[in-house]
Amino acid sequence: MNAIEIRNLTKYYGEFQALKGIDLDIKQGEVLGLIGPNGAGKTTTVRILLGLLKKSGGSVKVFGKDAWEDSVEIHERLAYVPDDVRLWPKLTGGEVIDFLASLRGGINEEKRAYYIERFEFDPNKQCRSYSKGNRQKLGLIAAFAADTDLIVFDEPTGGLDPLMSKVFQECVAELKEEGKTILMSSHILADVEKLCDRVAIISHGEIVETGTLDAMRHMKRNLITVRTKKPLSDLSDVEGVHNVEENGEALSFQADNEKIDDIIRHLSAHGIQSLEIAPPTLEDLFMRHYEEGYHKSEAVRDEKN
Amino acid sequence: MKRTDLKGTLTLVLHALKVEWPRYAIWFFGMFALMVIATYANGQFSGEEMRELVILSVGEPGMRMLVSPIRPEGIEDISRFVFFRFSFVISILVAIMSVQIVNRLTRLEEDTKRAEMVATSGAGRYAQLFSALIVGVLVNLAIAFALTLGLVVNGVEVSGSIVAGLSYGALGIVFAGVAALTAQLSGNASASSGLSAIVFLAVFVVNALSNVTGNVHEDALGFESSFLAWFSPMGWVQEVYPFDDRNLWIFFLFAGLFVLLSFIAFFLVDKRDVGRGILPDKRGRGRAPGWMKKPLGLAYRLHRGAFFGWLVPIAFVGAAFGAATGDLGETFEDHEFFGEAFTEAAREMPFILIAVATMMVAFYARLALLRMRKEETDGPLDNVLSTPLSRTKWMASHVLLAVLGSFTLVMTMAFFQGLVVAETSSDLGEQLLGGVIQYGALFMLAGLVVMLFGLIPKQASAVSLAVLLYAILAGSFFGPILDLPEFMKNLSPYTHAKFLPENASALRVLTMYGLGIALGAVGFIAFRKRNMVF
Repeated sequence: MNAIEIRNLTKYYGEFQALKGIDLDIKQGEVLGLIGPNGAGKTTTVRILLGLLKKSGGSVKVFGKDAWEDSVEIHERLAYVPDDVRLWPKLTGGEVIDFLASLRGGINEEKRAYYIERFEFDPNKQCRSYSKGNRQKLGLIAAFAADTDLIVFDEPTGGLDPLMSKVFQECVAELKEEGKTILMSSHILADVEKLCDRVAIISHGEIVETGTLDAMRHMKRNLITVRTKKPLSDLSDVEGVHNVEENGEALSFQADNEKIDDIIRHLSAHGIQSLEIAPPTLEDLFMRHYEEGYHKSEAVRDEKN
Repeated sequence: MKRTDLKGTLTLVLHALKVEWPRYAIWFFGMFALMVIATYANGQFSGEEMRELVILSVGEPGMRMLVSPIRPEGIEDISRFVFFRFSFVISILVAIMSVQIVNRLTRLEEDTKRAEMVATSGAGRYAQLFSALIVGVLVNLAIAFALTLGLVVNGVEVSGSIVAGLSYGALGIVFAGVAALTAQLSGNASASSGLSAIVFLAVFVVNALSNVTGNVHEDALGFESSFLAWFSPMGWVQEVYPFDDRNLWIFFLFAGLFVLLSFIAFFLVDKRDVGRGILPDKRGRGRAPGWMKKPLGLAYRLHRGAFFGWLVPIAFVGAAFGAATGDLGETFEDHEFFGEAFTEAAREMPFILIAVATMMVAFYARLALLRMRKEETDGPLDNVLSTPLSRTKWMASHVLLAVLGSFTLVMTMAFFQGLVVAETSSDLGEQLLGGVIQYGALFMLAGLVVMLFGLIPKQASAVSLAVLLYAILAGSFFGPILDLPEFMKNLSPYTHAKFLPENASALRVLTMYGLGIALGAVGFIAFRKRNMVF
């Protein structure tokens, strides 16, 4: 059964179309990463899902209920952590956790204490004196302690240091074990890589690709910039090499991970003078979608219909 | 102080003028219009009518709180007469304006973290505050010019008009200094403007008492304030007498106080961190008490600071008004020859004051209701509404507290005034009834603010302020003084709340409460149907 079902979701802000027909399913017990650059429509999608924004068209169902009409019932089974947790400046962190938990129907004392300790959080300070990272922790503790079936994170690790990001990942892994459904939006590929069963890539208000990370392996191409003694005229013919561009004296291209050995052999046969290998950025992924993948996903959609 | 401490001030001044100029323009033209209309309308009175109006007001100690001193020889002259009646309103407006200007440019900038960006992009440590004060002074000089112009176009003598205009500009500048200081003391913008409001109430009450305890000229043809006036900048304005003595040396008092307040504010800038107040953040409890875990409990926690900030001063205002009108019995005897009209007017006095207090409390009610908008723009609302709490319940908790809070404030004022007045003339219950009648007008305005929040959240703050100022200026107290046309007065709910309980019809009072509920209901429905917007 699907915990979340989004069909042909559109959203206009005045003239501007923020979402252009989103389709997305999240199965119960699944951890899904929604990734995309800033302004792609991640937060808009999430806020519609929460019933905070009204959709312009399409349908959004959470646990089989309408996200707007039945938001109160849905929220009994859901917890949310926004990208920038901003709460009441004069209340202490502890008070906020208790208040939000009570609204969700009660406090699980055990979990509350457990997560406060895990995140090394000081609940006695007023919210205005917390740093961004500490406010983020506050939001996470309130959500984790709520013990709901579905948790929605919007850019959860934004303000966390690497140590706390790790704690966060461990906590999510534990929840995954318990069978919770998790939706996590992020613009950092590495964030979702470790945790998510599936990934949906959103760009300019459209889901351009969904699938497991394995299935998306082709996306995991490295960007290679190389200078060689002998000219590399036949590079495009090598298997696993894509998008060769001349860059002054150097050549840059994308290389499939599984072919990397063959490619490097080919390069060194020409006498490498300098070599740089960079992991793919989200930008690269999106660029490619506009070059080739876009038509492919159109084709897939047509097939479905 | 280092040379670089003021670096970037000019840039910030220009930036403030660029961003905020529509507000300044509204104040400028608004004050100009007020001065022109007030001078013109009051200029239509004959000399005899002016004398009667002065006698009616001056004869009652309570009424003297709301007018300014005037001398027998000046009564029939419009320049003196218009300030006799309007000094009070103009003083309030310039004070509100100045506090708002400086608060927006200092504390609000910090709350939104813009100040940090400014400070780290090369501006000096004092530049933000210094530029806010410069803008405050500039706008007040412009207001002085607007007032002067408003008088001059009505044919009032130029040099006197300039001095009169400048005296209110000077009062505004002092309040710019007050706001600069409260901005340093408080932890955020709303606390800072709350603190400034309390300072203003104190300044107003001291001045009112100086008028009450002042010397009344023979036959109530004008009065002079008592020595208490020297303890209130509002009293200084009155002591300038721009068309008589022209006490220019008083401007040194204004300047001195402004410099002193600013100096302390600059001193405190060094003593605190950007984004914090001078009063330290307390280490609080780590658990929420039971009452706070309910939506209504949290709303109470969020409203209580402002509420108690108003409660004590409003009780004090009630007692002070009561003490002033408490002398009514004696006044009757002194002025028996004025006959029945005067007795009627005197009986009405405490009820008029309840109406005035209800107009003041309207500002509290507006801010308390707009707390909802603040929750929405500041972020917490997203968290709250993603729990199983319905929008309607959340909204109801805030509206309920704003209404209960403002009602309690009005009734507290009426109660304390009644406590003092009741033993001499009016009955306490009647005073409270007067409060309920006047609150009907406020209740309707509250309903309107709720509707605006539901329908046009982004414009709710500005539109509700405009509506409120209109309702007050066209209402029962200022409407007749401004001599506005009937239809304009009738648009204000305050016009329909009669002062004396025996003149009020139950149907009309209930209608106002009913309209308030209807407007509010529209707001509730609209809120359920709209997007959450920042």
